Amino acid sequence: MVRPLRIFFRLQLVQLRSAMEYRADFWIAAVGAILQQLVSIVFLVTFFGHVSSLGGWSLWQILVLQGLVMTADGIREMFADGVWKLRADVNDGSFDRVLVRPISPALQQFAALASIHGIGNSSLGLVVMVLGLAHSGVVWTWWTVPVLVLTMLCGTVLTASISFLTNMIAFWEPSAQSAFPTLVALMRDFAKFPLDVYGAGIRIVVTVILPYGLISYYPSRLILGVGDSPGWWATTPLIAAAGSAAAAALVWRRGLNRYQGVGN
Amino acid sequence: MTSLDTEAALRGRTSPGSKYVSLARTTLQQAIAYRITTFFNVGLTFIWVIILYYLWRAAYAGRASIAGLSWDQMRTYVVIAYGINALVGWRTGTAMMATIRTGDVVFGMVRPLNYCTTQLARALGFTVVEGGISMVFTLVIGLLFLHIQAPASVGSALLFVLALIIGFLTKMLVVFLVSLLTFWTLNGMGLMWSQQAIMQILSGTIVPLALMPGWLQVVAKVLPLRGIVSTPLEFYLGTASGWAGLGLLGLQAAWLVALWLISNLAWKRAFRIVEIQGG
Amino acid sequence: MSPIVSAEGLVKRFRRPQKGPGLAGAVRHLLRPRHETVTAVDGVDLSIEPGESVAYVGPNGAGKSTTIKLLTGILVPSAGTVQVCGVRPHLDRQANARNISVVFGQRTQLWWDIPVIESFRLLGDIYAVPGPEYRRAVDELVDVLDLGPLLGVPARQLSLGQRMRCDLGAALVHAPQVLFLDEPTIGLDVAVKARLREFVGRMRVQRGLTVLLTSHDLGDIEELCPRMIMIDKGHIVYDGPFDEVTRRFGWEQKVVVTLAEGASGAAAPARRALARISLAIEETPTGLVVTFDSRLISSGEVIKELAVALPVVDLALEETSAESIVRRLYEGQLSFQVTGDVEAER
Repeated sequence: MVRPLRIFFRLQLVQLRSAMEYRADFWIAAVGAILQQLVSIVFLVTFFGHVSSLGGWSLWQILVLQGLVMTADGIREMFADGVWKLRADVNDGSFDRVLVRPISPALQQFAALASIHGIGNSSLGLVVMVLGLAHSGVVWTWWTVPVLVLTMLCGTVLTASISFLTNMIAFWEPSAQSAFPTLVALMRDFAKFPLDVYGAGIRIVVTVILPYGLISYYPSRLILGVGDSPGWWATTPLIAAAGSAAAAALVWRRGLNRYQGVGN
Repeated sequence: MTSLDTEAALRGRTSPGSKYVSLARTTLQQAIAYRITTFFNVGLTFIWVIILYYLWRAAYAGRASIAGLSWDQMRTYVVIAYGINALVGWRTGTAMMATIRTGDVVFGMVRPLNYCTTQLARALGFTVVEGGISMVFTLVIGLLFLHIQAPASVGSALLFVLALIIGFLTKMLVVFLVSLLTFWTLNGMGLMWSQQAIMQILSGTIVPLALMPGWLQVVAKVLPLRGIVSTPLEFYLGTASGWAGLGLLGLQAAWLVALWLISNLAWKRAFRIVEIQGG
Repeated sequence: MSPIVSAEGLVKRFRRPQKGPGLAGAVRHLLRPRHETVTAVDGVDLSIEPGESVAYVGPNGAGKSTTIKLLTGILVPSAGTVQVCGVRPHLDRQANARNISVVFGQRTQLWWDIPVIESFRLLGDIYAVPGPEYRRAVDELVDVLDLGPLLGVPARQLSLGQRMRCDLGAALVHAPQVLFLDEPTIGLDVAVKARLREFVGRMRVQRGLTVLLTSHDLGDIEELCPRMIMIDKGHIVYDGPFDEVTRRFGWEQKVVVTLAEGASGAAAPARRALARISLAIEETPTGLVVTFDSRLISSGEVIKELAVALPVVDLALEETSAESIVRRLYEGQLSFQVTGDVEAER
């Protein structure tokens, strides 16, 4: 178990070094990614210039939501962005190489790209989250920080699993462009705001189907003390991570079988 | 679009005008082939329409107006703002950038022609499809689901259309200017992200200019980006009339001319620099 | 000695969707998908002993790359068994991966932006090569392939020939037992090809490396592979020494005859003269092409008969080297019956 992980990180390091070879591109990508995140923040700050609460949440409390989602996705970008290359690899035969090496194909695919501007996104996310926490009058207990850390890590697993899963469409429709995985990935923006404001339909989607809400809204309500929040909500990130990882593993197996022509 | 397609498109044409038309037609065919991708690409920008709808709905619970806009007006603003912004979308931008990598032949053939106009003509093919799909989304979501308002008056509607056209051309030129930067960096994605983000803020897409904090409002009002979304919407909603309206229109038009001049200066400069460097 | 690579009754079928053109076709396919089944490999038996060097030859679409993918564990067989180094590739893919190595001529396995030596180190890690063995392997490979000046260079800055040498080195860092070479010399110049062939030959001799080579370059085959397996339309049609190919299939020979000017209607007398021995006589603008079975009559006799019957100005005997046979196989000019005999396509 340790060896594959060590190799995984070495592969990531290689990608990082490759990316830094192209210095201008690296910085432009980093700046571009951060600007995209900033749009949401600019909106929030402007919005709260005219409104004092959104669905019972203050600006600072919502910043915690934003920070959690941004950090989770930023870390994913650092370590598991290679899944966005799956379609190209399947189409040009590079995926064969993955099957001919004695380590997990999934790990190899994760490491196929290192979008190192993920560091920018996750750093910004942390800053935003910490700022939000500092101004929200949080009652700090022994479980506050562990739950936060757990939420962020599970958030990474969730976003990674979902993007992995959606990119596997390449096994069944090799010619499909990456529009569908991109669309699903962007749905995480719903979870940057309190789910109270949405209609029932969206709330269900973001809680059960694409459970981004489980790694932002529910644990945040617990930590920030917004409304009555049952204690078990501290485990919602685990549920989201476990469920999505299981789904991704299942479909990955089937995708591999399809690629290898099992059952023909 | 390969340089060979471009050659074929340009060969045997007489006037520059018809050359531009045939360039546009070639990319239009390509764009139609990619309509499903475009559908998704435009669709995903409308995710934020849904988010903003709910957020503003919560904000307007218990109040009739924010910064002079009613709930009806705000709702209308959000839908149409995104619709306008999506008229010139992702593909248009990347198409302009792609030619710089592959279009050496085009350079050679196009020198008697205007590179800026050529890029606009090529991008037009994608813009037609992106714009068309965007309009469909706007109308379906706006009219069927979110019940947006009609323009404030006939006069408003006409001014809206006029401002829309000027704004549309403005955006094309801004995207063109950004695309010139691909001479110096391979990472078109980073440029597109930056351009999209800044555009969303300063054009008034994410939030009407009137709501912005003072200093940001000043910056936004001075720049040409407001002419893309904010100005047309002010006419649509009827919030700018009389002399104020005329002033807006004038500013928009002045910026368009300025951008046209800057663009032409910029690309000629860029070509010369690249030639010297042997890029 | 038991074979290191063996396959029995290996079959691989593919289901290809049949889609009509345009939007209508796409919709129809969504509602009622139709598939056709293509059998790429149809009952292939293979047996390769350790240390052998075998060429795997056949026209495009014959099942060549599919067989290689079955042997390397990329594809799973529809039927039949396959074993490499005692492991079933598709059941134990990672175990199989440790024993083999694949060089794809068109695609490098080196990481693009980092120095070659870093790629080697990564591979040493991926294949869990113990430190001392890794160092020994790399030292030897660097020496034999002359990689010294290339080690610090990122792969993207290498020429094709240099990259190929590095790829070969990379493939052998973990000392595999079986090496698959898929079109390794494509695009390389003669000097580089010679070096690579020499290297592979030496690895065979010194390390008992088993080599399976697919190549369009007959020079590769001739120099490296004493044994050749020919596959056509999913079946093995020849499995034996390279030299024997000539004997097996080279019996059809052609003589190109140039006749004196103004000699028209030469075909008729020629046919009469050669009726009992020729297979075909074709008229050309300058004369004739006579095809005959060299098992039944020698080329000398044919030439003698022709010279006697016709105003012959020049004669040329078309080559029947193994190369020409294989080339004609690639061009689809030969077809094979199940017995392994060959008939020429007219």
